[in-house]
Amino acid sequence: MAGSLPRKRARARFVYLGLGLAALLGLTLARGTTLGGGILTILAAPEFMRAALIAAIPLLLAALGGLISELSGVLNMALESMMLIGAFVAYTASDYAQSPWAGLVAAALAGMLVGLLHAFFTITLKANQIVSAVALNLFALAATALGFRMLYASGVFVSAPGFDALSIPFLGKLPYLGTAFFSHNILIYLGLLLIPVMWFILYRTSWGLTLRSVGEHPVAASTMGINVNRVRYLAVILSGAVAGMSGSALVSASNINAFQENLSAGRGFIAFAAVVFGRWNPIGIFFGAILFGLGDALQIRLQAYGVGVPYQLLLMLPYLITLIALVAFMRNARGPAASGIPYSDEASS
Amino acid sequence: MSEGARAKAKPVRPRAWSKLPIASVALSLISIATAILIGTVMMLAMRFDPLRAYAALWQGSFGNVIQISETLKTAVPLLLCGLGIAFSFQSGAFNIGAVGQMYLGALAAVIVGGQFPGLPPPLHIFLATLAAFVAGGLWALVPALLKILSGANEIISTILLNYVGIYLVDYMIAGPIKTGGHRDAPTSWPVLEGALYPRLIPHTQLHMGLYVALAAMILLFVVMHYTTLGQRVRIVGLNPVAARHAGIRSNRVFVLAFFISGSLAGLAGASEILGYQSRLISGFAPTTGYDAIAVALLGGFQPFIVGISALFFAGLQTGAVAMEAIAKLPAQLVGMIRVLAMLAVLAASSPRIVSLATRLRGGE
Repeated sequence: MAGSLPRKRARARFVYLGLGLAALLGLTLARGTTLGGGILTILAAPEFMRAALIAAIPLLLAALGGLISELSGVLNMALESMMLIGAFVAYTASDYAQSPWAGLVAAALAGMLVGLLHAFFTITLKANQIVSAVALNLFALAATALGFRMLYASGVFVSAPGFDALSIPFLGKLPYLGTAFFSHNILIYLGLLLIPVMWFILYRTSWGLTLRSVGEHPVAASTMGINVNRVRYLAVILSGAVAGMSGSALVSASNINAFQENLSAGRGFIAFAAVVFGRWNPIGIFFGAILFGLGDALQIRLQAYGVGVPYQLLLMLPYLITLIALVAFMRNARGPAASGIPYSDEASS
Repeated sequence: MSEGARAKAKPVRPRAWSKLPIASVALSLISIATAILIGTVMMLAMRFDPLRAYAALWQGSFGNVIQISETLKTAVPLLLCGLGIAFSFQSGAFNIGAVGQMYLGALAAVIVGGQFPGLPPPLHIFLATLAAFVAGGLWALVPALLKILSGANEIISTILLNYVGIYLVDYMIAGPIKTGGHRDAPTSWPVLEGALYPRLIPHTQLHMGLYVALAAMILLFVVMHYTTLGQRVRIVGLNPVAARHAGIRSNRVFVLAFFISGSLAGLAGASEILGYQSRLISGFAPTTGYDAIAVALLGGFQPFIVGISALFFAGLQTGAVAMEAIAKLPAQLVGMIRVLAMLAVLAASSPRIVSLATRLRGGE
């Protein structure tokens, strides 16, 4: 494998060239069929950046959750289920308690529960981490659909109370930045704040070091007296809490503050991808999330603008962008060394 | 070290026995029983009569010839996709993209099946099916090649491509191959009479796709157990490093596993369209490709048990209608039982439980 690396790279270069050409072709084609100037106006408007940020935050939260788990050596493809269950629970709890904060807390708790399940399957039972996630995702899809039909039999959209927009005193008045960045609901600020907080915890505290050592070299960590599986359990449950909150952000990202079946629509998987092409780094993950947010916002605006491209093709855009980013940034990407491998104490068994 | 001692003390199982997947069957049955138990508890908690519900489930899925053929018809795409997933998972290639591959197969089937009016029926059927086979396979090659060329994780890319495939079908039936339907619910052109699969039992929708699926099942079993290809696939899946030392080109196996698994999903798409739906509509099979993962999992990735597992899941699906109509149960509850069965099989087939079971059976 090591010997074929240069050749692999040369081949990869061809792929990028091809992708670049395809993108260029797409761009010129789009230009030929639409008013290029109109699109540029859309892109320059502060509302565009604003929408992109709103769409990015659920992904950011889910991906940060995924990061915790993956640094500890447990792949968390169950993010999709944590997000979907989080969204459902956030919606119902904030509807029943008439408070969005109740929704947020409930979503975090529900996410922790899913995390506990994932941890039980993958750490205690040593089940395949991918298969466990696939099962949990299907479980989330069925469980939320069942719960939603039972609780809201009418099928009529009921808006739950959401977080109010919070304009930051001075910054909110700035010409472009005010609308784009400083007049969001509190969840958006919390999400952004979590980036440095998470970075600090993971890379500057002893607990973060313990977590990463468990993901890199569990045997060495165990020799140091660290209980590997306990750290992993904690990491996966914590991961569920953060990813569960992404469900709350997802509900409040929609204008109507409502839940619908399969609301997450694959965003958990995109978050899983964002961890990889964000190189297991909170800041990189933020750029991954914002990339998807931009794609999502662009897609919605192009639909509304009527660019002549069928809307079905525009809907592909966020997924295609993620795919291209995955291909472009996957090269040399290296995750935690022990990621995906269950750990067992030889001595104790 | 106890591992080594156990291996030495126990003679290597004769090959013929290991091919009989008794352990898998037992695990699947235990899982199903667990799921039914949890389902019963849920029904009691929701104040439904479980006996009535299960009677309705049985009536609605295997009660008479019509219901049985309906169940078999539902099992066909589940089995085809499930076989493909089982094959890819056994080779360590995690293809979660059966949804997209199935959609592409259906698209190819309706394009070829709706054109060429002069063709003799057997040839037309063959060509439309072949088109679906190839389309599904090619769609699966995209993530396989991306993985080999750039290292892009195949799980993520197959899932992303599912969405791309779904929207591609939506686009095609609203534009290039549209005829009729409402503006909000467009449909593709119909498949011509000559390309439709013949029906097996009069007055039912059971079609020739059943034979296709059964043939695929037997073929896959033979490939897995009696060919060098199957052996290579399993070695790569079990231990990629050992496979490399044995001179197996794992990239080639990876690509092939993806192609075969995608083309089987493509066949599932063809069986839906050429078998009974006869035209393509948006969301014609939204969850089949994901349900098939559960089918493969419950079947322990072994062709024949995957067949039984497909029948079980199909029975739950067709029986759900009767449960809803007769026992007034929400259909989603049945969906839950389906998923619980999967979680139970996941737990039961995990290495920890399996090793425990072997220890109990093997004694010291």
